[in-house]
Amino acid sequence: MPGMPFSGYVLLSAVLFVAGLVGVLVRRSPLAALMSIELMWGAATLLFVAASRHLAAMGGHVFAFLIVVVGAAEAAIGLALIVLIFRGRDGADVDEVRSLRG
Amino acid sequence: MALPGISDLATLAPWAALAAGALLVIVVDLIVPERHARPWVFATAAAGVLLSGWYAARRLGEAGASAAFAGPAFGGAFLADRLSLVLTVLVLAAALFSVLLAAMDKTRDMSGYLALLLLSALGMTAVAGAGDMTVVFVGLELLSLGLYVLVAFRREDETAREGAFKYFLLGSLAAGILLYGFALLYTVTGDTSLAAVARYARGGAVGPLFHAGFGLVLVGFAFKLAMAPFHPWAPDAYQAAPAPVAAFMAVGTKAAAFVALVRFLWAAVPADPGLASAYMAPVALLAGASMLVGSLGALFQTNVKRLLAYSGIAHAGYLFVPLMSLEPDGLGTAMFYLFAYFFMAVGAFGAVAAAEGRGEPAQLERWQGLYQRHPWLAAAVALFFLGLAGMPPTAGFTGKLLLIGGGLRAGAGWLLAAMVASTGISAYVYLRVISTVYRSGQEPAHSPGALAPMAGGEGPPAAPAVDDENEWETAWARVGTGAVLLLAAAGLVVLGLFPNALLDGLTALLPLR
Amino acid sequence: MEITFWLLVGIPVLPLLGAAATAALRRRASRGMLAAIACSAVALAFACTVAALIRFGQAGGEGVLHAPLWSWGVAGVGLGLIGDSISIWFSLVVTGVGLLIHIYAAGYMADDPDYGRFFAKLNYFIFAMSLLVLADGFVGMLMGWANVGLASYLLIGFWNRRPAAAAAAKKAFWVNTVGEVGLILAMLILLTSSGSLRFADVLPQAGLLPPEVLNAAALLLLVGAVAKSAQLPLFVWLPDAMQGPTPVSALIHAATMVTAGVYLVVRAFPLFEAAPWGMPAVALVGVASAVFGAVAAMGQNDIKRILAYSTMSQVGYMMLAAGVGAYAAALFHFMTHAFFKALLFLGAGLVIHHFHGEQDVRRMGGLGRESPFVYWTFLIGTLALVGAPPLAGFFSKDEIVVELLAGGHTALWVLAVAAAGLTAFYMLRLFCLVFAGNPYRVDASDRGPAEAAAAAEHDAHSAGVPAVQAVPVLLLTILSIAGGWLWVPGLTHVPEAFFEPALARYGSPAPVHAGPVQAKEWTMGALLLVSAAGAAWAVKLFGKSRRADATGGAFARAAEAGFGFDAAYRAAFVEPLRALAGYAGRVMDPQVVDGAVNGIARLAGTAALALGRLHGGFVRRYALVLVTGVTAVLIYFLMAV
Repeated sequence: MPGMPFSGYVLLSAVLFVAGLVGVLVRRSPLAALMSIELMWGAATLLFVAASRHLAAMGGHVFAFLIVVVGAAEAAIGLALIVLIFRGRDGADVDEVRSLRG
Repeated sequence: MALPGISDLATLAPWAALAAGALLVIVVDLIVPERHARPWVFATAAAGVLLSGWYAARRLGEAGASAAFAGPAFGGAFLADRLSLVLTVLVLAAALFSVLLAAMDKTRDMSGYLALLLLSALGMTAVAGAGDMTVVFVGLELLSLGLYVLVAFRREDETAREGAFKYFLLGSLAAGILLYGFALLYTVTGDTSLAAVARYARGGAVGPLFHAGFGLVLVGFAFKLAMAPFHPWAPDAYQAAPAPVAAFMAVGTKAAAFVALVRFLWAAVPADPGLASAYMAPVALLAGASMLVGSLGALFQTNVKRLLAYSGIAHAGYLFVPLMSLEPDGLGTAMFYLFAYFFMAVGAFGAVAAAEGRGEPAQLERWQGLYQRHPWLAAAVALFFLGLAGMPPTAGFTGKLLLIGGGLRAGAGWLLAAMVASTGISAYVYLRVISTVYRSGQEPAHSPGALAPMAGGEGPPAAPAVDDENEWETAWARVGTGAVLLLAAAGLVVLGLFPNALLDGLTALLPLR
Repeated sequence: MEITFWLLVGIPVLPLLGAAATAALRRRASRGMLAAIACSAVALAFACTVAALIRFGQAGGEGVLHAPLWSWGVAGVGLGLIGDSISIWFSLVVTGVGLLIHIYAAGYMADDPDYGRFFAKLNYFIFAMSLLVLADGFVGMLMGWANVGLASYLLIGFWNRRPAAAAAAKKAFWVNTVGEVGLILAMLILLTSSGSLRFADVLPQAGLLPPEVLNAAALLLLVGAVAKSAQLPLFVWLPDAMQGPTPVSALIHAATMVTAGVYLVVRAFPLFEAAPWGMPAVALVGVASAVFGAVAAMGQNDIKRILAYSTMSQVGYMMLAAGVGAYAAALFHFMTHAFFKALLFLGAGLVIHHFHGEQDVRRMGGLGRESPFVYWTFLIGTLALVGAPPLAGFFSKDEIVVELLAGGHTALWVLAVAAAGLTAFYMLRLFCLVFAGNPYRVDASDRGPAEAAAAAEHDAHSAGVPAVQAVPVLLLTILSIAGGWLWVPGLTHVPEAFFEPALARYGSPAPVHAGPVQAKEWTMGALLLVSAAGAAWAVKLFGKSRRADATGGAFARAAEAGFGFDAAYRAAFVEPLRALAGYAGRVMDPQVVDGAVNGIARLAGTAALALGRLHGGFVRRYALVLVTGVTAVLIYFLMAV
């Protein structure tokens, strides 16, 4: 298999995963937070596909498809919730949503 | 992986019935004229749950108490064994109670609500029966997506939207963590089935990628179980959700995620004793932290739903006390406690729902003198909170007794001490609720004027608009709520006095490791 | 057998039924009806106890009545009732004195709007207490233990509109929780090591367990006993518990519940004897509490708080007796103490009513001339507590102190005798301030509106003592005189003979008599001399000239503040707990957190606030908590595994 060795894919996915984690923490826009989470899911998808290829097993490919499908549903509900909550507000900032606490 | 055959579908009858019920609810809502839809929708949902339960009970009867009974469907991707069936019965009972409680909700559009409730129940049973990581993932998402929407169901209420958004954001984050853990496990085992994970974990050297994958998956499940420190979503979500949904979340999600985590631990904890105890140490730590955070966090809460959320966090910790050695007997006692918790939590949330239906918001200070206004409701509150506090003759006491016995056998050590301390602290929490309910209240506190700012967007039902049907529905709703409280109370006491009736059926749910 | 079973079951169940009936009829039945139900439930329980005693006697005093009730299918864990001499002795006092106090309360609480609720709770307490003393194993005892704690919590906070009462109830609850945790941990240890929690299984083989296990179990049991019996260092709740109605103080916080610790030690004595540290620890706690309680009582000015510290001191005597193996003496003193301390509290109730709700002894006086009945009954109670012959306290206290010297514990003997002198001093001080001198008159402007209202309400009563209150007081007076005659050295020895079989069953060795032969004579002489001296000093100081604060300013202030124990506990336990809770939760319930705590709480409060920001509602902070957790788990699995 030409190109990047398998360990490179593992490293790349780990970097993407951590980038997603950090993104959730530092971005105040709900859309950016959602995209960061999608990045984490993408990191997992990448690892599944790369490993599937590397091990010549089909399970990872199947899982990758499932993640894509479920991720679409997840994003749909997430966007709906974001619209619902930030529709009446000026800007979209997750830090403004804090009437529930304690 | 063998292709699925017709026998697989026969095995799956309980779950197929549930899915069919969820879809039928929507169809019925489309067919029946809107004015009369409400009772039909409820009847369809209840029928679906009952049919599914009937299938599950029949299969459970066929299974008897034999450990050998296992019905792997779809080449082992879904395990229709006794553990699945027992859990399915529990989740279905929770779903049925939530459907009955939801009758109190005055919202017109109930078909979506009920369909999502049933689909979430399906997700829970799928998670608990999963023999493959793909099924765990799909099941978890199925239950979560439904619940995100259900929490936000009163969408004109600001807090409901907020709770749902937080739950969604953190839930997706946790799902990402879980997924990455699964991907790491797949990288080293080469297959997505739990059986492959078990083979790898027993097969000698266990690599660091497997360690990391195990840790991430553990976190993912701990989040769904609302174990500290992965709990912060729970109080917000429970407070935001309608009480029936909160009851369903508290019991169903916890039970399903618990069983899935147990299956995962059964498979993935290595055989080597030293490594096994190293793998179980963080589980114990999470459990102990949950007990303390749950009981301390509940200490000063003024919202009853929030208080019950913290109580649920503590109870999630208790479940792990007898599991430290991963013995089937320990699983049996933990499952018994899950049933006990089911009756207590559904009863307590049901009391909240009943109180809200009678214009008593779930603020603790507003419950003062409840015994003068609704003596039977107050008695129910007292019984369920006594159960949560672990007082005899309720199943809360018997269950704790069994947990302690199981913990002693499993060598839980300091975790037992943490449980005792947590129980001691939380006793005060629950007794505070009871003594508030039984304190003489000052009458003007619940005049309609005082009620208005509390009621959020929904407001008290407008009195003049009541037509005949509405009255009839309210009467039915009262009957439904009363039935839930009565059944939960009866179950709590019967289970407390005759634990063996259930306990005998919970032996050898999983094979010895 | 059948009758025995129902007799034993009837003792706890009848008051429980009474509680249910009074609670249910609270709004419908008349006051007289409610009182009649509550009193007859306890009276029937008392009758059951007497009948059980007779059956027990017919069985030759050797056997044990046993009524198994329930088993949860866990080996060694079950609920049953046992009727041996110790249980029946306790049960007699609980139901007997309980009955008298119920009758008294029917008059004392006559004006309270929550009459039915009060009697329901009082009956519930009798149920819980008899379950505690009749249980045949640690499980049943724990149920009783938790329920008396709950009853105590409910009754201390009975007047829950008073913030002080609510705070006191809360404090009592927390201290008892500490004790319960100790008790449960001890039970866990016993269940693992001996496989059962029934007394009949655990206790006979206690000596076979390894010493470190025994030490741990005994000391943890002692934590439970100390918390419930208000001994050092967990006594702080008892003085505050006096916020409850006076009959409650008499029944729960003087006669019965606070002696549950003594019951525990006596019941589990094979464990304490087998544990190397067991008996010394019990004796140490006992003597320290006996002395400390007496010293603290000297500096108090509230009549009920004086009696509360006195209770602590007297229960200390019982603990001390149990700690040197003089179980019969401990049980004997428990009974006589129940008589005269209940008498003193009921008398205090009459005094407080007479002075229109005033509880400060410095603002009383001259009651002797105005109410001879109260004067004489209170005097008998005082003298019985001080230990004047031939009243009850003389014989029982004497029996304990004699055992100390006979057993060769000279240091303990000296301290016990000294505490007796202090006892005489503080009791006579109390008596003189209340009854001697000129009546202290308060003008109405001195009082707050609530007190004035209470005073107006009680004016009707000050004319005389109603019969419903006088009869129990009179009966208790007779018992305080004659109760001691059960065990007069050289003449009668009822308790000793009664308990012998129960104690011998687990092979309690006869007390070692290593001390001087004339222990009896020396002790009696020393006790009489020291007590007389203490009494004389008090009468000289307070008899004629009213020098209420003669005990000295600094000391009085320190005693008033509980010698700093309260503040220390707040700093050591309450504040950290609040800080932790502040992290996990945020809202401080104004009803829960009392003002006193708030003042000192500044520092801990800011810490809690800083931690509380973690849960301040920001979803990104929740995410931070999550991610931190993930990182910790990952680091653990990659580095440590």
